Amino acid sequence: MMRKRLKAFTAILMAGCMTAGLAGGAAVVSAAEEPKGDFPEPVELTIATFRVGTHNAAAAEARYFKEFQEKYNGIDNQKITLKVEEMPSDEEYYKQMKIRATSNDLPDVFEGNGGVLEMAIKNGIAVDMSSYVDADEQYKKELGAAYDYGKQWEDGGLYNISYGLQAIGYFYNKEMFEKAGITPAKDWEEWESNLQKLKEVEVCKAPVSMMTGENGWTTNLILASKIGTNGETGNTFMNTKYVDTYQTPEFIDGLSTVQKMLQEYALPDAVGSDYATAANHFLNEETAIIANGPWMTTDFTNPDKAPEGFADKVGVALFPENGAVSQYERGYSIAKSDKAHEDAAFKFIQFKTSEYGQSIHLEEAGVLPLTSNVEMSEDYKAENPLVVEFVGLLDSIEYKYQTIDTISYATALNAFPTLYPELVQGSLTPEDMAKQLDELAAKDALYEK
Amino acid sequence: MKVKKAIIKTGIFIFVLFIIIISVAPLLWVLLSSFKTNREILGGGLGLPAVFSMKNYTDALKLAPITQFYINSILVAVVSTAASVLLFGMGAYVLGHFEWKFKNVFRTLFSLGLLIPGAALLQPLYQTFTSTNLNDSLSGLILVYMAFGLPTTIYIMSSYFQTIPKELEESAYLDGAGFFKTFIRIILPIAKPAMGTAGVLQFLLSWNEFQFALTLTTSNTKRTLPIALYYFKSQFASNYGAMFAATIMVVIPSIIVYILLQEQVVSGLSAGAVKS
Amino acid sequence: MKIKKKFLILFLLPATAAFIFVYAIPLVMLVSTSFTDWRVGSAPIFNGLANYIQLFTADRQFISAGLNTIIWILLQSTIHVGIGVVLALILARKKFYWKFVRTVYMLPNIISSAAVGMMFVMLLNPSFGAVNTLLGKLGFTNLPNWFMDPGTAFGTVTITWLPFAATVTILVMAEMTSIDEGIMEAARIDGATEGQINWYIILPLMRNIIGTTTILAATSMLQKLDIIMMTTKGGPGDRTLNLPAYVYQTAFTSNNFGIANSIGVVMIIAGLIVVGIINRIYKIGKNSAEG
Repeated sequence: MMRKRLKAFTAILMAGCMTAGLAGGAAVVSAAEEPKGDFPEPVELTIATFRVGTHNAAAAEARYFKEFQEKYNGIDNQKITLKVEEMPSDEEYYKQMKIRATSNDLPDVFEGNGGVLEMAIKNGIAVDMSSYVDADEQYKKELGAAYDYGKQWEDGGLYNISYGLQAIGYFYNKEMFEKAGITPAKDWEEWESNLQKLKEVEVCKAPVSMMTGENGWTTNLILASKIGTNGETGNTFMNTKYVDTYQTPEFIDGLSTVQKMLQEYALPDAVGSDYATAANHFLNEETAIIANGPWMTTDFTNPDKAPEGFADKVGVALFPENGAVSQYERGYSIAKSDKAHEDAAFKFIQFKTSEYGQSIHLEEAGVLPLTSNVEMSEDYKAENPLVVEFVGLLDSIEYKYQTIDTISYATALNAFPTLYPELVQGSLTPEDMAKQLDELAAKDALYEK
Repeated sequence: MKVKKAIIKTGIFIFVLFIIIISVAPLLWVLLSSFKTNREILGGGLGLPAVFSMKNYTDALKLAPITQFYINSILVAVVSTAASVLLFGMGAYVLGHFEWKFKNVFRTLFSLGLLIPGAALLQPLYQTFTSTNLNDSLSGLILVYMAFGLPTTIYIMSSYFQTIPKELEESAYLDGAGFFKTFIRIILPIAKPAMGTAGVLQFLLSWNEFQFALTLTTSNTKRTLPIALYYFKSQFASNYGAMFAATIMVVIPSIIVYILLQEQVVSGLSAGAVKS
Repeated sequence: MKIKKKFLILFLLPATAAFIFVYAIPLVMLVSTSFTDWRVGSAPIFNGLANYIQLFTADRQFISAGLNTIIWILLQSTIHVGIGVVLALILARKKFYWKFVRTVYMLPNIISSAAVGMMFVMLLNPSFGAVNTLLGKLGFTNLPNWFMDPGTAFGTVTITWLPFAATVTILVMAEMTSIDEGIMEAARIDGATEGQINWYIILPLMRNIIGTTTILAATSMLQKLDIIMMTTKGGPGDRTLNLPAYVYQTAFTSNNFGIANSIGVVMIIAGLIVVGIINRIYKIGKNSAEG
């Protein structure tokens, strides 16, 4: 339904462009002026993407490419062709970017997670986009606070433009909560007593879906929440750009919480399993709680993943103390090249991160927009009540914090999956684990101290 | 005596049975899983799928450019296997069969390839390939895979050439055949078993390699099958059913090639009689 | 036997050319940058032996990865090669099923290691995996989380490499085809048992190929990465971390190419030593007849 409407919208947009194009063409004929477009010569733009195959945003990505090509297909002398390089799996993507950055051969538009952007800025191969954005008030407004987020670099340059907000709470099984006689916890004491009750009434195999494989995602979300809601120091810790030391009382306290949860309130396979397995336990009503973002809601109605009617049983909540992960996606950057390529690259980034681009991302992939100006369509709301409910909760957040992934040097982050098993076994104390994380962080090439 | 023999026989039987089980289990598991839904796979059951549906196969073909990659993979694997067995077979022949000055230097040199960690090769090879315009080309991939298989091919073939009696060629020379002709007409046919095994390993390497294929190619017209398998796994949205269906589609040609090349090895058995 | 120089050069040319293009250039880069501070995205800066000193004096992970790798090389070149050779001997005698078994045994080597790794993860899952379910039914309790328990992780990863023995089997069997049947016939007529024939006649003739497979098996431990990344990622702690995984982590997670390349150089030197030792033991390259 929504797609149809957006298609109609695109068609109108296209028609508009074409009329403008015709008018422009006529002007050229009559006045014989030089071409007015930004790209007198067609530009081939290289873009690498990991949003292919089963990735949630694969459909959205394909649409961006298609619509962008249609928009810049020679009208008004603006011809940009896209050379899309598909790199399945984001982990592989960042690795390839590192190899390419080292050979100074980055694609024109790239995403700089995992230290890629830091390296690119340091070596002067990333483009400062301030002048582009400052020249376009409307677009700057559409970016909202993400504009300042993109400028958090030493020299104050705008090196990355975010495409979406990552806000994360947790999902719970309403039926199980009812049977256990509990409601989402207001504080961490209640959180623990909730888990205890869920365990006692035996409405589930284990109260919470956790996992320590991959990047320990669902486990680390709870860890981040425990720290991020732990007073001002804890909250500041969780909003640091890169953490130099994990040996703080708040972090160690968070680890103890997670340690206990993994030992007592999670399934035995939580240690070592990947996200898919943890999610599957929740989707098949074996666990009552899973921490994750709104993009997961599409799984609740997917017959290949969950039983029928499951979606109606799911509720969404903020973490105790009204905490939630709230951070911008790092987004897109431009690699230094000639002016025409840089201009074209910015056109693409602007297209994808404009309000229109954000709305595509929201409706096709559940990526929350940068500002609340991007409204959800009625159709989307009807189909995704949980997302609506969650967005409604965002106003009552008291503690906003980032993920462990964002605040950690990659080398330290990488060690969580290998240290958790020892922590759960008890062969490693939270204090020791924090110490080991410090040692590892110091090994990271980005680490400076 | 009889009892002892029986015990040995049972021991051998159990050993072979164990080997068969651990060998067949993975493939069987992947095959069954390729008909299951994600829920069934992640539920971990070993049984049959509730419904044998081909949905995973159609999904797999829709989600990843498998057909296109298939053609590339066949080209890369077949050419690199044939070229490697023939061209490196020449090197193996002089290494295994003759005495000359720097033989051991070359031996060591060729075995170096086994010792260099792949992760350390990625960046340098990317650099060399872009500067020689070999990146994003099938011939580039063929070259890399041949080189990756070089140490193994040389090892296997030269150790076989070593066992070939010299009298054989000597009589050929007496009959007036040249060095090259003798190699092609007499030596290679005898070396069939070694060519078969080296070929199998080279084919499997070229067919299954992922990391360098991804790094050294960028366009879908130049990519190979192992890359397709990564289209089904992203952190929050994996489709294991489709992944296993794709795995089955990827694995079938290698099984066929393996069985065919095995025939070469087997037929070498009768060739052994010629030598004696 | 002697060989004319022109044929020697001609026959060595293809292999040497491939070696130079794919290995020699990277090898030079690898060795030279191992003496530099080289991080992703920047140019290398010479820093002498600093990387090596750092590795051997202050890097706990490097030491455990090195030790694990050495243990795995030993296991692989003894137990796994042993299994492969024994199987080859058994199969060669039983013409009835050897073709079938040989084909079957190679199957895990044919499937991509990603699928094999995933299968092991599923089979050994502590909640629903087949192995623990089965053992539970047999009455065992307190079953481990095979890949994740500090006590079982190393052994479990070792088992995932068992199918490599299949390569040993097919290599040895291919070589067995070169044995003159007449020798064995003669031995049988003299009243030798199958065991004696295996031990006194076949095995000595197989010395070269067993040495070769031992080299391949041992050095394969300098490349094993996929299954570790799929299952334990080197954990718990550093218990299943090996050198290839550590090179990978240093290069692509820590973004430190300089140190990664120093580890690479250490691995190459260690590998050469291993190959040298195995060559010595099996006297590879010396013709059996000249022995």
